[in-house]
Amino acid sequence: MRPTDAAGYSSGNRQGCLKGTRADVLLQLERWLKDEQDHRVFWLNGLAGTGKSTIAQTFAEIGFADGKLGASFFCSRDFENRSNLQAIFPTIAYQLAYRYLPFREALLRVLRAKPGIAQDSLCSQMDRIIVGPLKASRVRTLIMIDALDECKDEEPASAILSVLSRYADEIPNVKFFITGRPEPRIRSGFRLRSLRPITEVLRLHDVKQTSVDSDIKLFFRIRLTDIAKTRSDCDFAQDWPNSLDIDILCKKAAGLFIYASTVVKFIAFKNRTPTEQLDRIISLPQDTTHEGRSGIDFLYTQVLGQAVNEVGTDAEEIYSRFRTVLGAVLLVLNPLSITALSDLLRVSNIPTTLRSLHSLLLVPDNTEVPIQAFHKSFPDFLTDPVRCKNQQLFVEPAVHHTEILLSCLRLMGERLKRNICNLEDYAILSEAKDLSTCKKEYIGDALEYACCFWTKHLLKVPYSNPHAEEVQGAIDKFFRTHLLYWIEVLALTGNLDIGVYAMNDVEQWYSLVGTV
Amino acid sequence: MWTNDSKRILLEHFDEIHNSPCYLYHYALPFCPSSSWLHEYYTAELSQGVRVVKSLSEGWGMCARTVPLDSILCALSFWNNTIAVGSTHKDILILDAITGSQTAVLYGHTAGVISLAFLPDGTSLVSGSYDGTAKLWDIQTGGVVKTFSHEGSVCSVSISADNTTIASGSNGSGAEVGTIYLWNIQTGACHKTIQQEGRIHHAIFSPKDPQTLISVSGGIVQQWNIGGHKVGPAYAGYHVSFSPDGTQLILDTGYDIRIQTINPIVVMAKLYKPGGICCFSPDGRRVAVVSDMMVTIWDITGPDPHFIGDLVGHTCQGHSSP
Repeated sequence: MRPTDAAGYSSGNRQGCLKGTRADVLLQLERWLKDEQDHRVFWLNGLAGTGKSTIAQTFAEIGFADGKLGASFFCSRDFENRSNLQAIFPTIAYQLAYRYLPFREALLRVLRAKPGIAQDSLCSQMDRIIVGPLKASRVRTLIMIDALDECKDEEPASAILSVLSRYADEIPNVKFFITGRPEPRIRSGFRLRSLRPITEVLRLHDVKQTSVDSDIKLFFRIRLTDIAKTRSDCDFAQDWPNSLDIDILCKKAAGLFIYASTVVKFIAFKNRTPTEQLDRIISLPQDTTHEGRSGIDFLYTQVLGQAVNEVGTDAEEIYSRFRTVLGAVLLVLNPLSITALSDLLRVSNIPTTLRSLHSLLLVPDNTEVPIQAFHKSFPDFLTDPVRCKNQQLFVEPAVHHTEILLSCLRLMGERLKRNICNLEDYAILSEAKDLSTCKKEYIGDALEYACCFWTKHLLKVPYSNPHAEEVQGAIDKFFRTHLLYWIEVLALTGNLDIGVYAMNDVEQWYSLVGTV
Repeated sequence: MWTNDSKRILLEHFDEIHNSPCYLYHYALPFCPSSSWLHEYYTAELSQGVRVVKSLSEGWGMCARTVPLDSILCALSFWNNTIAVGSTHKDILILDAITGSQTAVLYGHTAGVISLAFLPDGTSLVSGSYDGTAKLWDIQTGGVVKTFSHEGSVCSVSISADNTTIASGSNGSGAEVGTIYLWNIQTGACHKTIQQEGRIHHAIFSPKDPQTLISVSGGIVQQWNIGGHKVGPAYAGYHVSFSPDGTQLILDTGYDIRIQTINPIVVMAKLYKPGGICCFSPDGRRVAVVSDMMVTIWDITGPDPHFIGDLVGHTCQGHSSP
């Protein structure tokens, strides 16, 4: 059984709700958790940026403190293993086993009888490693799945929910808390006959506007006052932040918590004066189009513009480096760490480039940990020419996919070689010692990424583009000189399947170019 | 040109390379067909001491990947890029048809699985087993949606073109020998049984017309409508399969293979080839016949069937899928 690391509530850099905010929502949740009633499933849904995951995080912390939380899985489309349906139940079972001894014993019996579980269908996973042991151990618990919409799932009614609907009646002592955007397949999942009567639903975007606004105001007031307290280097007026400013900020946020949290990070930026930063936001044009989209677009433009200035003057070179790094951060199919990105892109000072983007990107201090956007709306904004009006910042996906593709091919050309891990001749992988250390040392994240995903970037490269010839030349060279070493790396990393699909991708691309 | 050879070398030695990457240089590379560009560009990679002494085959074989099973294969069904495999072992394997790798296992039957059919929309699969049940599976979740109980082992399952009815063939004991059951897929209720003489071999729906069903039992082929009434005369045959458009049949009569229209019965072509399992390709332009441990492929677009080639390499009788 291979649980997904870092999918639980306590890992990662997620922050919970600010104390005092979202009080009514949390109260409703706590009441639901405490009550013995028919509603054993709670579905918290809301549009992008309404604060679902933050509430889930807070609720998980509360549930853990009360000793009621058994397991949590925070889905994320940014990570292969955190958007994989097959990983959810094993991870939950692992956490339950860690938490409850009787459950662990029951689970071990199941696994001893039949070890392989990862390849099982969802139903038999649920049946064997969750429902069975739960029934045997009679554990009362809460299981939490956050951002179900970010799971890769093609079913018309979410596969997880249809499995849940089938088994929910067998485990009456277990409560499920699920969050996600109200996408059609999730909505129809909750409409399943056996799920509907036991589900309580809360729509975050329907929560009373006044209650949301007062939460957002409270959030601004406390966080900005915190900033004023910690920044002894700057002068603040006695009443900073004044209530007029907070009213304006709140109006701009238009109910979106992601707006509020981005603004606070922007104002807190340590190289600038908070009062000036606040004035910059206040002076942004007010526009309250649908869902406050435009509001957040102005905010993003402001933050990016300042980030560029932070690095230097408006030279095209700086913009270009920005686009390269940001393009890669936002367009790679699996998030990469600073080390891996510099390896892949051959850009050396990535931390400097990204320093002033800390309000938009999660840039960990540890250079081995992947970089991610805080919120999905940022990549959406930056890659959309209609929304991102600044041509120098706009990340044209086609251009950057080409750039990443060429980087992948270059890196493979440089690094791939026969017997890359220095294994003994005729070595059998399952018997090889220290294989994972070898892989880390000789292959590394950047090269593994290049080997697995280069054709995915190729598919995004348009056929008529100024680099088409360069791309074709690089592909020819790849086949002539590095094919076998590439297969070797795929085998070492357990990705041979990807190789077959990759060849289909290449065929598809060539057939569209028309020069097979 | 690049991609085909790359895919073939990967697939042909998939499991070996997966277990030990150096197999690529020691074995996979030297045994590439002589026409492959791999020889041209990668000679330097041949292991020391390895030299090709005897002429290699000119091109790649027709078999792309061999997937070892640890039990005897009994049933196959295809939908797009998904293959379902039933064997004397009770679990059904789901394979990715592009790589041949196993993507899921369906647990639920208590004995070997001997018949399989995908629903036309590919979301579900029906299986029949020695355990006396047919099961309807949800492919994505792998769960059993419904179970249909029979008297004896379920040797044939088929789904009507409109997705509403499952026809299953079962051989119970005594009087139950040779019953075709028609089930409502929604309610799971059996709304009709068709009793016929002899042990039932299989019963299949037309891929286009949900009213038409053809059964094979004891060497006799009979067409039925969904009400359980015979349509047209019975005739001799041991195996039968519909063309994709539902207008023709390919039929093994025991001494030849015939392609004929169904209404009325007109023989279009005969292949003088000792028979076995036979089927049409998905585009309806070719047919495959399994006999004598090999599969022969014929082009049927011209006036006379035209022999295309053999697929050799099966050590026991294969099951043909489009």
